[in-house]
Amino acid sequence: MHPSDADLVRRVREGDADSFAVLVERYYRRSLRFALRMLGDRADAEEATQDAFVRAYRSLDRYEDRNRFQAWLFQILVNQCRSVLRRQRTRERLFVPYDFAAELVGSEEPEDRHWSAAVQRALLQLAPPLREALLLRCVEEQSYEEIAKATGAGVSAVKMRVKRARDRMRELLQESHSVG
Amino acid sequence: MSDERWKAIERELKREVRPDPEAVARILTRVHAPAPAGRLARAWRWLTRPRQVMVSPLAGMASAAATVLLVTLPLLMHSAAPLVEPQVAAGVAAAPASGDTLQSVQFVLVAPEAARVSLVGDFNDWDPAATPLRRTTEEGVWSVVVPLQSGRYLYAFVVDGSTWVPDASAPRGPENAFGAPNSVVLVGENT
Repeated sequence: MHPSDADLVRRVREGDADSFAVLVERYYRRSLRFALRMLGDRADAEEATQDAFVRAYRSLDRYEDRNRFQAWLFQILVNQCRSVLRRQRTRERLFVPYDFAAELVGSEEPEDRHWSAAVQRALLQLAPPLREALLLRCVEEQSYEEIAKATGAGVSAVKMRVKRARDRMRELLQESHSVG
Repeated sequence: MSDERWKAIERELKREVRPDPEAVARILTRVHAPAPAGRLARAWRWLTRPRQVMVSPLAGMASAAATVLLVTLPLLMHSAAPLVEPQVAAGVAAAPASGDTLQSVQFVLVAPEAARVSLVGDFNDWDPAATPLRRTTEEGVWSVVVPLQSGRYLYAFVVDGSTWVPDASAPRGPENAFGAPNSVVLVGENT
């Protein structure tokens, strides 16, 4: 029987720092996935993810049990990613298309790799607020309320962002499909 | 485009990413490292640090008034360490506002010489024109209250339209592209 997130948080608060390792193991991969999708860059994604866990650990006394740990962690992660995005914008980073499939587990077929690159390219063309909302809803399957809390937007704004993001992704991938 | 197509997009987005095998160990190493000093400790170190200050008589009067305020501001604001930089002092405090998640966060900067001060941060898209602070006393205490939802925000003050000033009482965030430091405020439901 695996301990619940709430049990692990309680143990960490009681001084058992090793229990935090279980939480990191449990959420590192999906946190990295979110950051990598958001930022499109492996080094930036690793930095944002690792910083988010460190900040979560240091803010654990502010975590409330009635919230899901993952949703709370993602609030911090969203902010870390925003910080990196600002830096990316100001250093005029160019999103050079690269083999995004190399960042993913599996996917050896050329057709799959082409598709992986196209999806990530489309995602990076979305405005960051749309990208955030889409990933939190469609990939992390968070509730609209959780997303509102993580992003600082209202619930109705989040719903609108998810819808617009999906529509835009469809358009972009339609174009990409017909061109490519 | 059919729903099948959207499902294919979603499946792709959900694919597992290749992890860095050393990342978890790195996170745990950082977590177990000593935490940085808290606001009070840092503010105390600053207050007790020997320094030489040269001021004009007028600025001296303003500084004396600012010092009094620095002692009283934390009481007025419920929280916030007194914090000071040689020319300015700042602080941030949060109190519940109406609504379930919005909280009123007060940002304070003591800048006697400033003609105008504004707040830039994640919450206003770093727009120096969006959130001006109001000079609330003759002595140069500038303040603004911003309703914020729970979350972590980076911010800084902009003095006279050009000088970027972090909040010395708050944790430092990453520097911006020009090397200027930002501050961090965490707004939680209990703050």
